[in-house]
Amino acid sequence: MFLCALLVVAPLCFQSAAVKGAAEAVHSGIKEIVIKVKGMICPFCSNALERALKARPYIKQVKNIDLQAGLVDLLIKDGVTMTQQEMETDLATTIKEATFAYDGVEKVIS
Amino acid sequence: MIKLLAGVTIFFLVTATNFSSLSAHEPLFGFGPDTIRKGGYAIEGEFEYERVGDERETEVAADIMYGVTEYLAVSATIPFIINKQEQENGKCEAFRSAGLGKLEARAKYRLYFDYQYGKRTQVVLIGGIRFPTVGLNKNPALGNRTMDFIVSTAAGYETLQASYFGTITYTINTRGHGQQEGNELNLTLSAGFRPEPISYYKLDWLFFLEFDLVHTAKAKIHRSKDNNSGGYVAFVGPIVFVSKENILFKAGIQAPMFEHVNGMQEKHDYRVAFGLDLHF
Repeated sequence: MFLCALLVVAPLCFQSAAVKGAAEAVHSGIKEIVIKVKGMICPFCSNALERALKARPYIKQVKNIDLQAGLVDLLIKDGVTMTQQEMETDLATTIKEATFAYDGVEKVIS
Repeated sequence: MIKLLAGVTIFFLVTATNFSSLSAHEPLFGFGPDTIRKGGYAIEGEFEYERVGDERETEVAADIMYGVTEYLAVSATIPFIINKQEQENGKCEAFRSAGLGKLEARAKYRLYFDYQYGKRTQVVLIGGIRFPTVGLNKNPALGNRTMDFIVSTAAGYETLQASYFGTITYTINTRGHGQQEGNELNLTLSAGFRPEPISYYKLDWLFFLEFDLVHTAKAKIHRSKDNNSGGYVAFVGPIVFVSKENILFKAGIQAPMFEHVNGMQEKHDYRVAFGLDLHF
């Protein structure tokens, strides 16, 4: 009887631990991310990009847009449960839909 | 009541299914290559005044644009002619009329794009329809009551310092009430520069020189050609754009550089246009 209970409970404990580990993994801990964007040639059209980025649920603020360098500095909300990879995938889609091109991360501040 | 319902229906059909020319920095008297972000929309108010001999036309228009996808934008133009004035030869009396112009619906599809740091190259294909929405029994007439079709392609190369645009537009006019306006071919070339280094947080000034060549075929009246219609005219003039955040003001004036019109027709003097864009 005890053995049966152990066989049932033990996998659940391992599963719980695995889920806890995964939950910890999805907390990116990213506070700020600077991304590279191609196609920004004027403030008026780049404002559309700022609006699109501000609408993403994990972005707290568009801190700075540097047209000369093609860099966009984003502040990330606290407690965001996304990996950096997931965030980059979402940013790439958002930027593409705003008629610009995402070209990777310049800097991440955790 | 039926007319009102029909008008409202047309308005919503046009605004729901159409397309636009309003985008960022583009030629003032021709289409440009910029689209709008997916789910974004733009509103533009325009004013245009044209003087051709004794004829004068003052028009205001509202444009609405929506980004269906990042590749496709649809828009509608609702023009209202405030004053159209013509004077018959040898008479002092001038005839005036006002009213709704031809509602226009357009779709703009981005065929090609190449985005680099501080550079953007784009080619778009534009298709449009002008609806026969002008009022009846106007003197002078505010346009013919026929459906027109627009096909255009526009290309642009834009950088942080300068922009270059080229557009070819062909307008096909259909027959109505025994009359047919001549088809129109427009070529627009423009180049602009920024006088000072650009910054996202500063007022952005951009100065353009725009060249427009308009060729109009002879009109037909009951299948015979009207020899007092058609010809070509080339306009040139400066344009200025000023923008801050999502607000853009543009203004320009053009005068004919050379002109050859068939038969007895008034010659163009100048045309002025300005507009205010808001992007959301």
